[in-house]
Amino acid sequence: MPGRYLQHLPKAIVARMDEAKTGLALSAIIPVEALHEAAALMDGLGYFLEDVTGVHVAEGFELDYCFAHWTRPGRVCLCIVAPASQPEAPTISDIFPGADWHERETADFLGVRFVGHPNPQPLLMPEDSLHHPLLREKTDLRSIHALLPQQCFINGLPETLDLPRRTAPCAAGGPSGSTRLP
Amino acid sequence: MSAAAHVPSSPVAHSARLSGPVSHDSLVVSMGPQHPSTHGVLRVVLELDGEYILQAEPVLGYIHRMHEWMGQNRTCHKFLPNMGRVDYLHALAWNWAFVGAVEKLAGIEVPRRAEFIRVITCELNRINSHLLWWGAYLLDLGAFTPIMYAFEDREEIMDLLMRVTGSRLTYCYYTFGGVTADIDEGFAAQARRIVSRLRGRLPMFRDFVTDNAILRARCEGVGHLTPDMARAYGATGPVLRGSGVAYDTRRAEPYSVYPELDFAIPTSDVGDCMARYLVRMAELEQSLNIVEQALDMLPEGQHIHPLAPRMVTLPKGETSFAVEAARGKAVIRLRGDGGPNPYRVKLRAPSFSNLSLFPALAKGTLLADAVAILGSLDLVIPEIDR
Repeated sequence: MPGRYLQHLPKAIVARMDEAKTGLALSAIIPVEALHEAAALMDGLGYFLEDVTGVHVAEGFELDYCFAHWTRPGRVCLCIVAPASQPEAPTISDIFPGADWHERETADFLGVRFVGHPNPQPLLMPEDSLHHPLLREKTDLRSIHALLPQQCFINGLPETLDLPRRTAPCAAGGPSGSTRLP
Repeated sequence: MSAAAHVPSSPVAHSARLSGPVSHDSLVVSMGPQHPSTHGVLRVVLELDGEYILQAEPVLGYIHRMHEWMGQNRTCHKFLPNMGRVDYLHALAWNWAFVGAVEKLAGIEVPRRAEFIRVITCELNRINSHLLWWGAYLLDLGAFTPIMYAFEDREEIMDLLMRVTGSRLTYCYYTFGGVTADIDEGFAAQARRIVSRLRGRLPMFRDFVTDNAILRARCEGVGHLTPDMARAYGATGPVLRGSGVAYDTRRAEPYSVYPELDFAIPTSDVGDCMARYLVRMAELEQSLNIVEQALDMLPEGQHIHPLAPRMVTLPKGETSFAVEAARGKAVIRLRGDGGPNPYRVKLRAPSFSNLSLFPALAKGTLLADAVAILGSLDLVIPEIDR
């Protein structure tokens, strides 16, 4: 059901996933500025935030917000990519208070800034540390395309991201599409 | 990325750790990191008005080891022993989360016998974890004797698990494609003896401890957690089930042979410390049932798949694998890039989310009640700091 709503977000790429292989029912790549709205939507549908995972990729910082539901099966992942030139994302700790610590941890590990965070102190790293341990050397970075070949994309592509068109058969959708996503 | 990036500076004032403003006539106290009721190295900065807590803020990171960095700098086999050190009380759950994620991404098959062995050992480990929590929680509340009883039972299970895993606590027993050693008749017989012995002990624990008026007075009506709040903070495990939500990963995201086993998910609608206590005590009985069933159903066969790889190469892609650990939902998120090392390993620890709701629960309570609340969350600090 969240897919039906998420695909109406501007520039969202919503994909049904192979759950047996990826553990995700639905993955939505959304623009950074749509994150807050999408998180509010997940809250409205009764999901809880499992965690926030930051991955350093060639395009910048991929942040995965994974949600699960107490009664509804299937994990939903909201994915944003903050460019390396502007490593920022809006905080969702006003919607999910539990995101507070997950965001602080991600800021520690990758140096991503969470705009509007109520208490942006280091959580796990020393308070005076300038080191972000999960940052990779440039030669060690992989592109998001290379890392996620199993994604199946629909509903257009955001201009900021040069992502591949869908690679696996999956439901057509989007504002003009007719197929409903779970 | 220089190694000398950490520049020591002047220490941060305790009050600067608090997220809210500090009143001029209140007292700021740093509880921990060396405090008997913070179990390990957790520090909580408290703003007190007399005995009442105005605000509380856990300060983490004292035993932060950066498991996630280690995960992306070595092969899966080399990283696997780390998993026994994340939650040292339920090490096999993290073993399972990691091998499960790798098996899922790399498409490694597990023989049916190995799945049953995993269920048996994982549940025995859960019983161990709950027994230790029970003893330690009562120690927090001022009752010394129960931990002696808990350790007596725990010792038997540790001896049994040591037979197959080779270690006492930080197990590294599961491997990609099965388990490292098969269980024999002697193991099964001893496991059955332990199950029947514990069945006799649990009523005694209930009579002497659970029904004790002092324990009830310390736990009932303290630290009330509503389901809405549990959802806002992503609480899982007995903390969530103590608030009346029957959410258990073994049923919600079925894995291994759990769908074939008959067990209940104990819940309590009350939401206080006592509810979380009762849920864990009921889970002990359920785990005993599971062990017994799995022993009955244990099929013949191999304990490890003959084609289990000596060297795992993760294909490109990502996967998430969740297990129900003693403290709640433990998830490993794995990202492969086609090489021997994972590109990213993420550990979602249940204690991390469960502790994050402590500031909200502790607000307005007595300091002594905050200790009861902290204990009822069943925290394992290495899992939070990772």
